[in-house]
Amino acid sequence: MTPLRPSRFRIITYFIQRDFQIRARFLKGWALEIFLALGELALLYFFNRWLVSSGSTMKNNYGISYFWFVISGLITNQLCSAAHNGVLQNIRMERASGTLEFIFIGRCSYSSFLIGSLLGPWLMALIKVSLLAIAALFLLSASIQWSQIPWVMFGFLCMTLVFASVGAIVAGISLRSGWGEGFEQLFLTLSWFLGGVYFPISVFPAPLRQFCATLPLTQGLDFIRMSWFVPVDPHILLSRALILLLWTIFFTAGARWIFGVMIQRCREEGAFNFF
Amino acid sequence: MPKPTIDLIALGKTFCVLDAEGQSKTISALIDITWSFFPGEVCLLVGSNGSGKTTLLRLMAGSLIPSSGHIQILGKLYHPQRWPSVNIAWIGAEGRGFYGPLNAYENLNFFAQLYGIPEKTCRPRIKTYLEILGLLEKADFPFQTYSHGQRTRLAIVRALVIDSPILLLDEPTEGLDPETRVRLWEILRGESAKAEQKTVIVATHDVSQALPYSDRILALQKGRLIPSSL
Repeated sequence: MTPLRPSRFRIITYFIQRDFQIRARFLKGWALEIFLALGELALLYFFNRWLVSSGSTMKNNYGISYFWFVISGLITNQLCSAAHNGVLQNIRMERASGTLEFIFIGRCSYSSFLIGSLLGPWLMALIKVSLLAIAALFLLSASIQWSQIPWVMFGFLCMTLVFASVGAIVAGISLRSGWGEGFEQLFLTLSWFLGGVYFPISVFPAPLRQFCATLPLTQGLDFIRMSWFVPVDPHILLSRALILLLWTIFFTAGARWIFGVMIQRCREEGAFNFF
Repeated sequence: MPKPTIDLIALGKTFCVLDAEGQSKTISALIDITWSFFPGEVCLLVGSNGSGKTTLLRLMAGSLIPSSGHIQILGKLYHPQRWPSVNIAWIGAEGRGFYGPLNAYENLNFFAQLYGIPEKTCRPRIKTYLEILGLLEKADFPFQTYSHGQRTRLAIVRALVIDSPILLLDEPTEGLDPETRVRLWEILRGESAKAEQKTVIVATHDVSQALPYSDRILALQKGRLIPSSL
């Protein structure tokens, strides 16, 4: 008699456990990642302090508010990259090691597989950004809106799902064609440069600014920064959250659909284990 | 007569490939295969390279979708858009499908749990099969340090631990020493003779050694079933 299929929740925990077991073999690399992230933070802090004490007119543009503007961008960047790369690298690893077809022959659903692939690396990134945020708070206090923190969490969750979806779409496309990497580069380059991670989108000319404003990363970052540092009317937060939620639903549903279609194509073409 | 475990009904599979000039070409890997596999039997899939053995195993495992015909597994028509609804123990030929940095226990635990075997049940099974196949001493080492033969043996352990009614094995004796080959055929014969009456289907070139342990032979030539199949 065939054993019962484990619940979706259990399958996800197996993937997380496996991910941590694999990553435990590369702890030095992970520790170095944290060290570098903290180093980046320290550089930013000393640059900020130097500017403020130098009496330069630039200090008006690069004061404490700029420090926190970048920190929130960096934290979002870390979580989104972990989500995107985590899903993508896991699927690539599964394919290269020949385990991908074993997982699906084992009746694991696509959603459980994708969520399982996402959560391990994302939890590792969460530990990293928590350290980053604590260190940043220790260095320079900010006027954080503690009552709006649940909204910030919601923003991070949505952005994570959007970027994980992109990872799943790229992985799906890469399974059967060479276009996946191109799509990935296009999306990431547009997002990181035009999404307001390192500088506000207001510096762009008007037509580009309008385009940037529609990008999910811009929407997400704007929402996170707004709810993190500025007291905002809950109605405004709600309407912005709704837009973000719609982006998230669009991307996650699209990713699930594209991934499923691509796996079916792989099954038609027998392309599971070759590149 | 017992009900068949797997029924292949006019099964066909074609692939589109690009030739040297970049032109798309259709290749028929399997043509009109009709066959039934029964519980408790060890069936050998034989044929020269490229005759369609691996394609047939993959179709039954679900990692390929047939281009024509149908497959029935345990009496249920297997819908091509879905994966088979029963556990199928499968040993692929390429790479054997394990995570390099993890050791044998971690790898086997992960797959066993994924296939619905509770941790309590699978631990003693893993240990027993690792011992039978001579991998117990190597079990704590990462999979990436395993030799070709050891990788094959670990894949066999996984197929046995999963405790599936259907075992599909693609060249399981490849890279194994003669002694382990004999032990493997004995194990497979034993699995099919168990009370659960498992169906064991093995693609192999090792026909002379496998013959005493098998019940029937399905011979393929250029994707077609050879009429002399027993």
